[in-house]
Amino acid sequence: MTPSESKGGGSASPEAPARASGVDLRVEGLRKSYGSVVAVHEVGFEIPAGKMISLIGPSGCGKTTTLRMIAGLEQPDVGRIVAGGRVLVDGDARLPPEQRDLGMVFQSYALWPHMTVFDNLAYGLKRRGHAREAIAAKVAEVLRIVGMSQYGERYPGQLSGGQQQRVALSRAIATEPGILLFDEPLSNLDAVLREQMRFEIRSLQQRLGITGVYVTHSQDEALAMSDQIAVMRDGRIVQIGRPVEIYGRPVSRFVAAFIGLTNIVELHGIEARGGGITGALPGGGSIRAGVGAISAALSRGTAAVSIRPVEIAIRRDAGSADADNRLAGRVRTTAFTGGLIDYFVDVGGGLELRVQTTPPAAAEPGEEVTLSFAADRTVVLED
Amino acid sequence: MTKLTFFDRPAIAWAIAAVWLAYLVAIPIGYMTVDSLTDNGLTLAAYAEFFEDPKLRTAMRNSLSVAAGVAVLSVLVGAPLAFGVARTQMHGRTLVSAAMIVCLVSPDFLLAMAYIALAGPNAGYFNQAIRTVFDLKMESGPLNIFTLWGLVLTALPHGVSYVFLALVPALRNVDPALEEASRVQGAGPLETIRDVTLPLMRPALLSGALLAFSGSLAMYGPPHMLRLNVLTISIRESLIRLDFKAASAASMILILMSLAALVLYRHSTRQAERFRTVGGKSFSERSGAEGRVAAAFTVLGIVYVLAVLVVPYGGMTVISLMKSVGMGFSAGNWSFDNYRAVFSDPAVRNAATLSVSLAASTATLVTVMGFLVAYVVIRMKLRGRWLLDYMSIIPLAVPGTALAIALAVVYLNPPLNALGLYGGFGILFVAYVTRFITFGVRTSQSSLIQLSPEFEEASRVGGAGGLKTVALITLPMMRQALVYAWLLVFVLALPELSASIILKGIHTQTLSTVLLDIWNGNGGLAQACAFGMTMFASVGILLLTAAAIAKRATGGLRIGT
Amino acid sequence: MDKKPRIRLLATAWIGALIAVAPASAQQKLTIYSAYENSQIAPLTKAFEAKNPGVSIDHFRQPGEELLATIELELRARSPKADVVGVNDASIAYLQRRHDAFEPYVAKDVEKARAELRSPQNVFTPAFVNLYLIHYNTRRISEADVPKSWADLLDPKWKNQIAMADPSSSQSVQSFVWFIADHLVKVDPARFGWDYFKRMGANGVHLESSHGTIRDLTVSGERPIGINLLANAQTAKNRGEPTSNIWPREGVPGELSAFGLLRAAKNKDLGKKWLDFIISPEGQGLMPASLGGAPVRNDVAYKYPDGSSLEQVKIIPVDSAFISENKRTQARKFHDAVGK
Repeated sequence: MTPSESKGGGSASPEAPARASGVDLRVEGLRKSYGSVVAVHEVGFEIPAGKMISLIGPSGCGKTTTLRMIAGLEQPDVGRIVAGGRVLVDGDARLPPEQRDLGMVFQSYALWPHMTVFDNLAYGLKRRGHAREAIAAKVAEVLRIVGMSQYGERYPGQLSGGQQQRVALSRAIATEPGILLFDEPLSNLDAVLREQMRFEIRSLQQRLGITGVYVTHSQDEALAMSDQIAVMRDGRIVQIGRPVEIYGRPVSRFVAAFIGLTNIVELHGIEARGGGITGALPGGGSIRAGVGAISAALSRGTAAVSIRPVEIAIRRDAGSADADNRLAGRVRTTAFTGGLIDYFVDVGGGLELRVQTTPPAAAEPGEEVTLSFAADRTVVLED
Repeated sequence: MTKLTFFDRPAIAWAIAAVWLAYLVAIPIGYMTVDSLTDNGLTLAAYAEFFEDPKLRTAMRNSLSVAAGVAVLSVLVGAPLAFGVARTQMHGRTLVSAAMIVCLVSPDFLLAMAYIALAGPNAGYFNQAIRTVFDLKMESGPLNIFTLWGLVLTALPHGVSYVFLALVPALRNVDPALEEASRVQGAGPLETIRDVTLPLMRPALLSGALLAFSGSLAMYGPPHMLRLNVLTISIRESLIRLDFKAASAASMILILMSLAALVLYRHSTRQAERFRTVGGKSFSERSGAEGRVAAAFTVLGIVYVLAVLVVPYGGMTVISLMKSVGMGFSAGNWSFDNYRAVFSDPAVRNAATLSVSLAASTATLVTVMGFLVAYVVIRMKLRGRWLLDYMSIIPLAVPGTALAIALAVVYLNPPLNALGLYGGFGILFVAYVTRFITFGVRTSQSSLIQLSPEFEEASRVGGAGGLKTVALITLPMMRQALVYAWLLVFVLALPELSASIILKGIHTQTLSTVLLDIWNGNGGLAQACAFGMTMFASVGILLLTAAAIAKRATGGLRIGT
Repeated sequence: MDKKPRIRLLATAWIGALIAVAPASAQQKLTIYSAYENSQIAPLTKAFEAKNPGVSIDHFRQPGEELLATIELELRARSPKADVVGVNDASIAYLQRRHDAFEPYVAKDVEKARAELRSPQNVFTPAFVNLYLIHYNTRRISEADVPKSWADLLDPKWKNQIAMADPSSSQSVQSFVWFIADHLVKVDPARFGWDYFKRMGANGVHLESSHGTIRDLTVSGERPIGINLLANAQTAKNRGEPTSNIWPREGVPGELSAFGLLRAAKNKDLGKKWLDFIISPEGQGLMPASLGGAPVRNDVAYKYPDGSSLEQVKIIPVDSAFISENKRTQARKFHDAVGK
C-alpha cells in the first residue's frame, strides 16, 4: 500500500533497471455520461502498488470507459483519480494523457504501422528526452524480455498476431510506467496463444512490480491474472474482491452467472436453519444454504441460490445421508468436454441442474441419480 | 446445359479487354512515341529542338512549377480542411464537403474567367476595392491574376478537392488507438499529428497531391485564358503551326513528367501494410475537437467556400447580367440579354447536344468496359492481368492535350486514317473514353474487391452459368458503384476541354470549346459569363444526383495501391 | 424479361439521337469558315439568306491562325468541309501557295472595287478594309491623356495597360507586326523596328489570342488600351460600350479582308453567289454594321466609328506577299522581342 517514489515529470532515468516499480492507484466517484446515457456511474476502487485489478463485465458495462478515463483519453464528468500521490484528475483539473506516466496495451495493439518495431518502442523514450544510446539499450532490453530481440527492424505489418501483441506489451513497459493499462489485449488472439500470453503478461507484471488495470470480458483472464476483480454492470461496480471471493461468494445472480458456470435455483418459504436458511423448491423438496445474503432472504421470504456445477456430487445410489442437500433426479443428457463431463439432471418441478465431474462418467442418460451438495457451497444471492 | 459464355472463358475475356485497352491506350501513345523519335530513321531531333527552344524550356519549367505549386498548396489547404471536417466539431462540415465536390467537377476555366474579372490587375473588382479601401495611389494591382501564381490559384480548388476527398475517409478510418497510444506514450496532440497521423496519411496525401499535380500539368483552359506559357499551350501552338513533330515531342515530355509523378507515388506507397491503419475492432465515431479549435476550422472552411465558390461564381453571375461590361455597376445596365443570346445561339444548342451525347456515350462505354476490365483483373486469375491494370491507369498520366495530339497523329496517318474519324464525333469519342477509362476501371475494381467471391460461387453452385451469375448476382450487387461511375464520368466528360480543343471539328464543337470561343471574342465576356453560369448550374444539378449516390457507393477517386 | 423491349427502345432512341447530332442537310447549305465573330457576320448572312430562300448558312469561326490550321488539316485529310473562306488576303495567299486551295472566280461587279484591292488572279473577292487603330476605354482614360501615336504607347505611364494580339493565334496582327518592324522602321528607325516590341514587352504588353478578347478587355477596363482592328472598335461602338479610338499620327496599316471559294467546295454555285453578294452595293453597305470594316467600293458612303472620313485617315497598305511568306519567322522574331 505504500506508494513508491513519485514519478512526476516522467523523468525516470534510463540507467534504472527494468524493475520498474508500480504506484498505487485510487479511483473515486467517477462518473461519465454521453448525452443522457450514463456510461460510468460512481465508480471507485483502490489498487495497491504492484497489484493487478481486472475490470470485467459485458460490453457496454463501462469498463473500457473507466480505463480510458484513467488513461486520460476520456474526461470524467465528476470524480478523482490519484496515482502514486499524483492527482491525475480531480473534477476539471486533469493531466493530459502524455503527462500521466502510463503504459497501455490496446485491443488492436495500435502499433504504428509506418514505424519499425524499434521505432515503436523508442517513441515514448524519445519523448522523455533520453539519449540515443540509452534508448537503444532500453529497447533491446524490453525486446529481450518479451523474446522479440531479433525483430527490431521489422515493421508491424510483417509480424504475426502474437508477435504484435508482444511488441505492444514491450512498448507499454519500455518507458517504465507506474501503471499499465490493458484494454482487452488478448481478444484478437486465437485460443492457444491467448492462454499462453495470459500467463506471460501476469508474470511480467509481477516481475516488474507494475500496477495493472486490466479490462476484459473473459472470466478466465480475470480470474487467472488479477489480484482484484471488479465486476461491472450498467456503469457500476457490482462486486469487487479477490478472484476466489468473486467466484466463491457471488453477491448477485449477475455476478454468479457472469463469473463461472452456475445453477441458480429459486426458493420460497425461507426459514432460518443453523447459521443459514432453508427454502422450498417449486417441485417439492428443499435446499439448505449456508452463506451469502442470509438476512435479506429471511426478510423477503424468497431467495435465489447459486450452486456451481462442480460442487454437486452425482451418484447412482442414494448417497450418504449426512449431506446438507440431497435431490433425486433423472439424467436427461450428458456431454463429454475432455477434462469434464456435463450432466443435465431433471430434478422435478421443471428444474434442471447442471453437474460437472471429472471422468469417468458417473451416470448415463435416462438413469435415476442422486445429487448432493454442501450448504456452505450454496450461496444465497442478494437479488 | 448452360452455354459457355464470355465469363466462362477467361482467356477470351482477357483478350477482349487487352485488345480494347491496347486500342485506346497503347496504340496512340506508342504511335506518338515512335513518331516523335523518327524522321527517316531513329532520331532525337524533335527533342533536341524542344530543349533548344527557350520558349519551350520556359513552358516546361512553368508547367512543372505550377503543377508542383498546386500539389504543395493543395496539401497545405486541403489537409487542414479535411482534418477539420473529419476530426473536429466545426460548423459547416457538410457545406465544405459539398463545396469540394462542386469544385472538383466545375470546369477549371470558369474559375479562371471569374478571377480575371475579380483579380485582373487594372479593373479587377478586388483590386479596385483594395485600392479604394487602402487609398493606394497605384493604378493597377496589387493582385495580378495573369501570372503563374494566378494560374496556381485557379487550379488550386481542383487540387484541394483531390486531397480533401482522399484524406477525409482516410482520417476517419484510422484506428483512434494509434493516436491514443502516442498520447499515452508521452506525445502531445500536435506531436501526435506530426509523428503518427500525418505519416499514416501519406498514401492518401500523396494520392491527392499526385492528382493535383497531374491535373495541373494537364490544364488547358486557365493558362489559355490567362495567356501563360505552359506546355499544353505550346502543344496547341505547335499544332496550329502544323508542326506535328514538335507537338508530339512536347506531348511526350508532358506525359513523361506526369508518369514520373505516378511512378514516384506508386513507389513511395508500395508497402501498403505500413499504412494499414484500421484496427481489429470497429470503433465508435470520435466526437472530435470542440471549442476554439473547431471555431478556427469553421472560419477556415467558410473562407475557403467563399473564395472558391461564392465570390467567383457570384461575380460571374453579376457580370453575366450586365448589358455593357464597360458601364459596370450602373443603373439600367442590367438584363438577361446575355442569357437570351446564349440560349438562342444555334452553335450553343448544337454543342450542348453533342456534349451530352458524347458524355453519355462515354460514360456508358467506360462503365461497361471498366467493369469488364475490372472483372478480368480482380476475378480471373490469369497471368498478365497486371498489364491490364497498368494500361488502365496510364490514361491518368496522359494529359488530354497530349492524348489528343497522339490521336490526331494516329488518325491523320495511314492506316487508321481510313477510319475517317478525324474531325468528327468518332475521334472525340475515342479521346473521351480513353481519358476517363481509369475512373470506370477503378470504381468497378474497388467495388469488386469488397464483394466477396462467395456470392458468385454460391450462384454457380446453385446452377447458374458464368454470364447468368454476373447478370443476376455481380451486377446487381455493384449497381450503386456502376451508377456512380457512370455519373462521375458523365459529369467530368461534359465540360471536357483539353482534348476537345485539339480534336473538335466544324460540326463537333463541344460546350467548352464554344465557351472558349465566346470568351475569345465571339460574343464577349458577359456572354461567356452567362454561358459559364449556365454550365455551372447544369453541372451542379447533375452533381447533386451523383453525390447522393457517391455517398453510398465507394469512392473511385483514389488511386488504389 | 419484360424489360427487354424497353431496352431496345432506349437503344433505338439513343442511336436516333446520335444521328440527329450529325448535320441535317434538308436545305441547301453554304458553309463558311471565317475569322469573324458570329454576331459580326450575322447581318450579312441574314441578308444573303433573305435574298436566297431555301439557303442556310453554316458559319464556323476561329481566330485566324487557328482557322488556317483547321483548313490545312482538312485539306491534308482530303476532306475540306468549307465552301467559302473569309480571312485576310495574306492568309488567302498563304493557303493558295501551299495548297492551291482556291478556285479563281470573277465576282459580278468586282471591277467596282478599288483596283489596288483586287486579286490579280481573282483568287479572292475583296470584302472590306480592316485597319489597326488605338482603341481605348473612355471611362478610364481621359481625352487629354490619350496616346496620339504608336510611339506614345511606349510611354511608361501605359505600363500594364495595353493589350495586343499574339501571332501564335491571330493572323491579322501580322499586318501590325509588319507595319512596325518592316515599314515604320524605314521612316523612323530610332523608334520602330523590332526594338519597338522589345520595349512594348518591357512595358508589360498583354498578348491575347484574338482581337475580340482584346476588345472585351478594353471594354472592361482591364486593359484600357487595345491595339485593335477597326472591326472591333466598330462592334464596341455598336454595343454602346464606353470606348473610342485614335488614328495614330504615323498612319495605320490597312489589310484587306476577303473571301475565297475553295476548289473542293461542295456548293460552288452558292459560294459564287456569296462572293457576288459580298461585293454588291448591298453587301458593301452592310460592312460597317457587320464585319466593321471600310467598304472596298468607292461608290458606297462610309464614315469611321469616331466620325472621321476616309480621307482623314492615312492608310498604309500592308505587304501581304511578304507577310504570307514570312509569317513563321515574323512570329518568332516578335516573340523573341516581346520576351513572352
